[in-house]
Amino acid sequence: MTRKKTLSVIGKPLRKVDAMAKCAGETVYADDLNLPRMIYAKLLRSPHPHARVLGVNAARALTLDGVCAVITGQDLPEKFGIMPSTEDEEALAVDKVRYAGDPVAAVAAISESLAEQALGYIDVEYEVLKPILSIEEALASTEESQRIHTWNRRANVQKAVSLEFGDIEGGFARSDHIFEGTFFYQGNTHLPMEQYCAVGFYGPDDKLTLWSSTQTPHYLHRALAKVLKLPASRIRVIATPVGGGFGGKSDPFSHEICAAKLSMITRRPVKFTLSREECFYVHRGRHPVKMWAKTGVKSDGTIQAMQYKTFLDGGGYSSYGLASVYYTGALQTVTYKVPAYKFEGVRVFTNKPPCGPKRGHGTPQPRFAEEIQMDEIAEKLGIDPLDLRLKQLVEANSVTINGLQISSCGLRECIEKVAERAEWKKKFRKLPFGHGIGFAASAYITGAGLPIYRNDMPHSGVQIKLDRSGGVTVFCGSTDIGQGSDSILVYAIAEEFGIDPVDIRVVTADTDLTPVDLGSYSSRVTIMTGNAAIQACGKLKLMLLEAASEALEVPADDLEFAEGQVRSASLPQRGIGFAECVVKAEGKHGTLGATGSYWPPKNPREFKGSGVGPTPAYTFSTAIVELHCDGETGEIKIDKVWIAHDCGRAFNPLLVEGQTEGSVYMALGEALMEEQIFRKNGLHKIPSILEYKSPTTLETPEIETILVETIDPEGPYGAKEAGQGPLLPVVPAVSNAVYDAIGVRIHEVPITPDKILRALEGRLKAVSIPKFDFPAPLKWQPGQGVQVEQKS
Amino acid sequence: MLRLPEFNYVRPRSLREATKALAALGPEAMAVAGGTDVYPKMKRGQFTPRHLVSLRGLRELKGIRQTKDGLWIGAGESLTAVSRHRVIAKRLPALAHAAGSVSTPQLRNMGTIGGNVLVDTRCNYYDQTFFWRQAVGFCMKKDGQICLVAPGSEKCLAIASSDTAPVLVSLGAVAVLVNKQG
Ligand SMILES: Cc1cc2nc3c(=O)[nH]c(=O)nc-3n(C[C@H](O)[C@H](O)[C@H](O)COP(=O)(O)OP(=O)(O)OC[C@H]3O[C@@H](n4cnc5c(N)ncnc54)[C@H](O)[C@@H]3O)c2cc1C
Ligand code: SF4
Repeated sequence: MTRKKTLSVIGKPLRKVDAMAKCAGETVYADDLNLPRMIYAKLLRSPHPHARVLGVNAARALTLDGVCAVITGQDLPEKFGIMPSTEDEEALAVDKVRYAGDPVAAVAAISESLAEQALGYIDVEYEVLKPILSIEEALASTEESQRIHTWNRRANVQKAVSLEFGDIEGGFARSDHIFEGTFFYQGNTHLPMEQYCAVGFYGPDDKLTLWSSTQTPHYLHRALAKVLKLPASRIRVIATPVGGGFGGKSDPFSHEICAAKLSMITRRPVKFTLSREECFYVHRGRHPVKMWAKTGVKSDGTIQAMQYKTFLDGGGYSSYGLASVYYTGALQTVTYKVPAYKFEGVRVFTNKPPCGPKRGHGTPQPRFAEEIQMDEIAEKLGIDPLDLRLKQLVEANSVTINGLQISSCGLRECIEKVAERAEWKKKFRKLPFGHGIGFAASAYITGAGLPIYRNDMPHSGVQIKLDRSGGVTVFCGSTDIGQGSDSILVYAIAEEFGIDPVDIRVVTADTDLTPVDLGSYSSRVTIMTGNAAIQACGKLKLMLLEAASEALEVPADDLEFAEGQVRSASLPQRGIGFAECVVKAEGKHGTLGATGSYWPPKNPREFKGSGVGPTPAYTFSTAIVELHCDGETGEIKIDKVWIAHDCGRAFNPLLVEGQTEGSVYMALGEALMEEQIFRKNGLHKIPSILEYKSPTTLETPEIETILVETIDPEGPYGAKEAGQGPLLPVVPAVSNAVYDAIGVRIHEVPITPDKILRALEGRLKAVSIPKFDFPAPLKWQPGQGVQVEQKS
Repeated sequence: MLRLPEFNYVRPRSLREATKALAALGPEAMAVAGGTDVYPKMKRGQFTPRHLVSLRGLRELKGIRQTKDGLWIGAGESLTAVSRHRVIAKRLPALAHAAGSVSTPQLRNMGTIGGNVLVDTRCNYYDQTFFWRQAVGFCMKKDGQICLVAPGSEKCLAIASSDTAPVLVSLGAVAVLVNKQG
C-alpha cells in the first residue's frame, strides 16, 4: 500500500459529528431520559461543615404517600474514591460530615417535589464540630481530636511530597540574582452548563444500568461494583452526552451511587438531577493554592535553579488530590532549561467541598507564579521578557532535569508568532499609563502516562466493524464532553479508509458495548483513541487490500484508500468502491472486525510520585494580553488576547480553535472574577450563577488564535492536545499586563478592582506562606533511570 | 433542579374579578404578573402562596396613553414596552432608560412595570435557597426571628432593588390602587 501524501479529512474544518443534534436540541442528555415507571430522588445535605452524625431517622419521611425509599450511610458503608490509595468518600455520611453540603440521606419518590419535601421529614442528629476552613488552620490542627479524617498519617495533611532534581544548592550558589516571591491562586469551580444528572435502573434481569453525565464511565463502573458489592459484569455504565465537564465530572459521585442503590431497592428507574446550588457543593474544582517560588539566575538571565513550595487547600475529601499535589510541581521544568529543581507540596483537608481536577489540573497555579517571576526577572535585569525566555527554551527531543521526555516542541514558534501578531516590540513598556500588555508561556501534557489504578492493560481500546453496506461502526469507551472526541474517531477512520465521515457510526462510552477507554481527562483522548483507531484500521486494511488486490489484479503495495475507493495509486481509474471491497474481503476472510489498543510510552522515571508528569507528548502555549486598567476604579477591561498553541497537528482546526478560545475565556474568568469562597461558618458564600461571577460573551474580548503544528511522532497524524494547555499562559499574562499598565504586581487571582486599588495605595499585603515541615526530599537524576537516594 | 411547589392558579377575566379573587382568597394568595420575581422566590421558598391570581391578559392593565395630566402607564405593560415606547423615550427618557436597564431582554419581555415597582426587597441572607437559609439560620424576613445583617435591629434592613421605582418617584408619578370595591 502506498502512503497518501495529502490528507482529505484530517486538518479540514469539518462540522462535529454531533453538532447538528446539539444545535437542534435533539441531543439526549441524562436529564432528557424518561423511563417507564421512573421515580425521582434527592439528597439530604448537611448544613454543617463539620459534624458527627449521631443518628439519621427516616421513619417520618417513609410515611409520606408517594415516598418509595430512603437510604442513609448505613446502607452504603463501603468507602470509595477515584484514587485507589486514598478512598475516603462515602456515598452518604456514615458517621461524619466534612463540608456543608455533604450528603447524609437520599430519598426516592414519585415526583421530584415530593422527594424534596420528604427531605424535611428526615431527622438527623448532629454533634457539631469546629470547622477547619483554611490551609493555616488545617496545618495548625495537629491534635488527634481535630482530625477531619482518621486514615491519613499526619492530622489534616492528606499528602506531603518533596522531590529534588540536580544540584539545587550549587545552582543557587552559582546564581548572580535570586528571586523569591509568594503567590495565591484562589479556588474556582467548573460551572458547566449541564448540571449533574444520573439515572439508575436495576432491571428484572438482575443487571444494573447507570446513565450519567460523567467523564469517566470506566472508573465509575469500578466504583459502583465496589460500593454496591455487585459483580462488575452485571453493571453497565452509559455516559450520556456531557454538557460540559472541564474535569468536574471525573469522580464517582454520591448521586450516581444512590441512583443505583435506590433502584436496587425499588426496582424502578431512579433519576437524580442536581440543582445549580448542589453543583457548587459537589465541586472538585480548582484548588486554592498558596505558593512560594524561588529562582536563581545568572546576570544574563539564564536559570540556574528553581524551587517551589505549594500548599493546596483540598477540601473535605481526597478526590484526585494525590495527583493534584504532584501536578503543582511537575511541569515547571517543561518550558525553560532548568538545571536544578526542587519541589515541596502539601495538600490539606479543610471542611469545604472537595477540590479536584479543573482544566489544567494543578498546573495553572504554579504556572501563574513562574511566569510572573520570569517577568520580574526580565524587568530587574533589563531584558525583554520574550528574549529572556527565548535564550533558554527547552528543545525538541530532550529530557528535563526531572526526567520528563519532550518529543516535539513548538515553543519558539509560539513565542515568535504571538509577538509578531500582537506587535509586542512596539507596545511593551511603551503604552500610556492604564494601558498595558503582558506575556506568558506554558506547557501541558497530552494524556497522563499512568492509569489511575495500576494495571498493564491498554489505556484506550477501539473496535471497528465493517458492514457489507460499506458502513463502518466504531466502538470506543471514550466520552464526548463537548470537546469532540466522537468526531476525532470518525475523522481518523475516514482518513484511513478514504471514505466520507458520514458513512461512519460512533458508539461510545457504554461499558457493555465499547472497549475500555480510561476517560476524558488529562487531555488524553485524541492521542490515545486516535492511535488505537488507526491501529484497528491498519488490521482491517490488510484484509481489504488482499481482496482488492485480487479483484483488481493490482499489487497491494500500489493500492490506496481514497475518495471512497480502493484503487491503484499509479492508475487511479483502476479501483473498486469501498463497499464492494468490503463485500469481497468478507467473502474471503469472514466477518470483518478488528481492535486497536494504545499504551503510552514507558515511564522512564522510577520513584514514588513519578507517575505524574510523564506523557506521550507535551504541548506548548503562549499568550499576550492587552488591557486597560483604570487607576481610579481598579477596573480591568481586556482589549484583546493573542494565543499561540502548539497542538502537534490540528486534527480539525475548527475544534482546536474552539478549545483554545474556550480555554482563554475560562482563564479570564479565573484571572479576573471567579472565586469559590466561604462564609466564616463554612457555608458557600455564593452558590448561584447570579453571585458567582463568570464572564459571558459580553466580557469576552477578541481572541486571535494561532495554531502551531509540530507533527509529533507519537501523536495520531502528529496530533497532541488542545483542551487544557491554552488556559495556562493567559492568567499570568493578565497579571503581567496589569504591571505594564499601572506598575503594580498582583500575585493573586482573581485580580479584582479592590486588589488593584489596594496595590496602588501600597496596601496589598504579600501572600503569607504557612510554616510546614516537609518530608526529607527524594533525590533523583535523569539518565540513570534509577533512584539516587531516598530518605524516608 | 429547583422545583416550583404546587399551587392553585386563578385566571380572572377582568380586573374586578382579580381583585375579588384576591380578597376572597386572603393572605394565602398573591398576585402574579410576569412572574419573574414571584416564581423564582417560590422555588426558593421565600414566597409560599397557595394561590396565585394571574394579572396577565387583563386588558385594564394594558396600554400607555397620553392623558390631560401626563402619561398613564398600565401596570401590566412589559419593561420592554416601557423602554421602547416613543412618547416615554422622548418625554421621560430616564424611565425608558431605567426600564431598559433591568436584567436581560428575556426578563424585560416577561417582567412588567407593575411587578418592578412592587418587586421584593433584596438581601444576601434572604435571596438564597431554602437549604442555604436554613444552614445559615433563618432571618426575620422569612421563617426566623432576627436580622442577620444587623442582629440588634428590630426591623428588616433589606433594600428595594427596583430600577424603575426611584425614577417614578422622582418624576412625581402617582399609583392608582384598586381593591374589590373598585
Ligand atoms: C435574574 C433576575 C434579574 C433581575 N434583575 C433585575 C434588575 O436588574 N432590576 C430590577 O429592578 N429587577 C430585577 N429583577 C426582578 C424582577 O424580575 C423585575 O423587577 C420585574 O420587573 C418584576 O416584574 P414581574 O411582572 O415579573 O413581577 P412578578 O414577579 O409577577 O411580581 C412581583 C411582585 O409584584 C406584585 N405585582 C405584580 N404586578 C402587580 C400589580 N399590577 N398590582 C399589584 N401587585 C402586583 C406581585 O404580587 C409580586 O409581589 C430580576 C429578576 C431576576 C429573576
Ligand atoms: S432581616 Fe436582615 S438579614 Fe433578613 S432580609 Fe432583612 S436585612 Fe437581610
